Amino acid sequence: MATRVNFELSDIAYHSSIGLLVRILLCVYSVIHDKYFKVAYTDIDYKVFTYAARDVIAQRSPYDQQAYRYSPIIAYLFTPNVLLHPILGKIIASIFDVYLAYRIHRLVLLTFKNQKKALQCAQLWLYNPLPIIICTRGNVDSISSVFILLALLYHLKQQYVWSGVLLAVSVHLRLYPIIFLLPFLVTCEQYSSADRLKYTYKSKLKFLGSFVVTLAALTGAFYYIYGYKFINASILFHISRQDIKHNFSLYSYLQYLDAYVPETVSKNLVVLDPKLTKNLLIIVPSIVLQLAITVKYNTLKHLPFSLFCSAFVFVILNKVLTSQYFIWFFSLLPVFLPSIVLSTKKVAAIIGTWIGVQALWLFAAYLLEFEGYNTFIFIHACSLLFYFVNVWILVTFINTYNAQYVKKID
Amino acid sequence: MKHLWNYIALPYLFVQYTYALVDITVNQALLNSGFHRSLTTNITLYANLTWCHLLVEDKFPRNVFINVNEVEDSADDIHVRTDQNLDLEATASASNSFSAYIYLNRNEPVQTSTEFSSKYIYTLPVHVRYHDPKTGGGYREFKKHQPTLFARCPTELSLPSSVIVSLPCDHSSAKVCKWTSLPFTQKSVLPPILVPVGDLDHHLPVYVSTHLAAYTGVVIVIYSLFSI
Repeated sequence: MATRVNFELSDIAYHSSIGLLVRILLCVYSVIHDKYFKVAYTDIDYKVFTYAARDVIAQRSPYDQQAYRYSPIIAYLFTPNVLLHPILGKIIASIFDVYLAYRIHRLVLLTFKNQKKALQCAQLWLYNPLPIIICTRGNVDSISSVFILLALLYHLKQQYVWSGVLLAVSVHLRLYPIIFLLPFLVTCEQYSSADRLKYTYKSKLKFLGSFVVTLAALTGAFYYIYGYKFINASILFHISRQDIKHNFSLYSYLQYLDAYVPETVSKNLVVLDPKLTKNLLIIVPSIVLQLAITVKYNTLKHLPFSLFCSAFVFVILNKVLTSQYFIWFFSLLPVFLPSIVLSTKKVAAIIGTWIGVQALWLFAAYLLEFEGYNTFIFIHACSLLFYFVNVWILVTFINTYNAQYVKKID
Repeated sequence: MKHLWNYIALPYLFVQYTYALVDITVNQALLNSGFHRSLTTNITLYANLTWCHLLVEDKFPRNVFINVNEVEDSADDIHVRTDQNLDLEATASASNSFSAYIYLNRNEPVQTSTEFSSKYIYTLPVHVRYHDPKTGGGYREFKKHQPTLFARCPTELSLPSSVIVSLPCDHSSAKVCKWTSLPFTQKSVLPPILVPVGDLDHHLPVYVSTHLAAYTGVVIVIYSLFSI
């Protein structure tokens, strides 16, 4: 038994080392690329993190940077960028990204009790070009994803105080995991309990209590240090965010035009208050689907798939959608993947279509942003197409998901 | 007595010499297309500006913005500040025109050269803001203003048609200094800049197609969730 465990550990350690090496090499490449190419490799937010870290070192607020809309913890994490070398923030993001693969490995081992599948799922993350590129561009979404997977792990182990604490940390780092609160809360249960209802009630209370206390403590502490600017930038901005600039979102071009349509036109289009109707029309589809998913997958063994579906729906119906948002659902994909049965042909079709439509969108966006051609309507058409491709992928997953493969969690 | 003569005569000679030799050309070019441009400025000086600090005031219309942090990171030879905090995400109609102060040679004084000639080339990344859409779509057009060149010298500069203005001494402090404008010739003028804008005629089809797509997707997902 000891030999088996050692073998399994060394296997994941070996692939994690290669995964980290690939990421570090890309971090180095990014420096060269940015120097010679018109389209930069490094994410624009990476610079914002670095400037915020510079402010923190100079005893100023990271929110002095107008575009900094994250937890101050991210700025603290990026201080080696300023103190030692500008590439270190990317290395830190890469380390979190590789650690995410390790957490995927542990989760699959817990739910499917199959070492081969666990390693394959971890490899799916470690060698997946999308997360590799996103984290080496300096994006930090894998950090909050680590906390989501940790929360999921503790939740599946029915340690609800810890799952509450960890989910709260992920919400503090990146507001979007708040959508997971309901699926987590609904699935607080005990597998073998005589008085199931009573235990469920206690479990829910434990989870919710630890979640609220942790989130309130983190929010309160940083509000004390940085004041209202922290609340405004890291919470309120994300709730009310409206980005009229082109992005993958279905609503992108509509928001741009809507912002300038004369009141007389918009009044003819809607029955209620124009602003309220506009917002409701956009929010309702996402809320309806979140609730439907939570109702359908309301037990603990479905939680990984439920979280994936929630994240997927939230992302494809979000008012703003950039490629970094794909990490939100991609990080959850390997955790339930052994319960999806698809032919190689179908997998190839899904991957090919998903990448192909994105490439089409990116080409139209490149012509607009870097060549100055007016391609707004083509970008909109590509966004619509991308949305339907995503709906097709989600439906394929729902139709082929089989929770019978999930083993009893000890 | 000889020393005293030096103190009186040298500044006078210096002023006269500068006056005689000032010949400056400034040329600007806007490289790349689309929303992310590079403004290259090429300054050639034939003037005795030894120990003078040089400053370019570049006035930008509200249609564009520069990111001071980005400039400071990418340029080794200049320091930059703006006359106001810029909202990097605002649209053109919600923004104001602004001035960028570019301190040449990282605000180090000009070193002596035998021919009194020096050349400065710097590049500013300039980003075009999103503009209001219009009926029929297409493009909106705007122009960039001409820059102004200033010097701040240990001794007074006496130049024809020059003006003295108060501007920040350097890129970081609040201190203000007297700067003298330097006359220059500009060989070429920047052409108008075109920026693509949305088409307001698209509003109704975009409105209908967006919401129809969103709700169709919702129905498809709900059907697949509860039909098995």
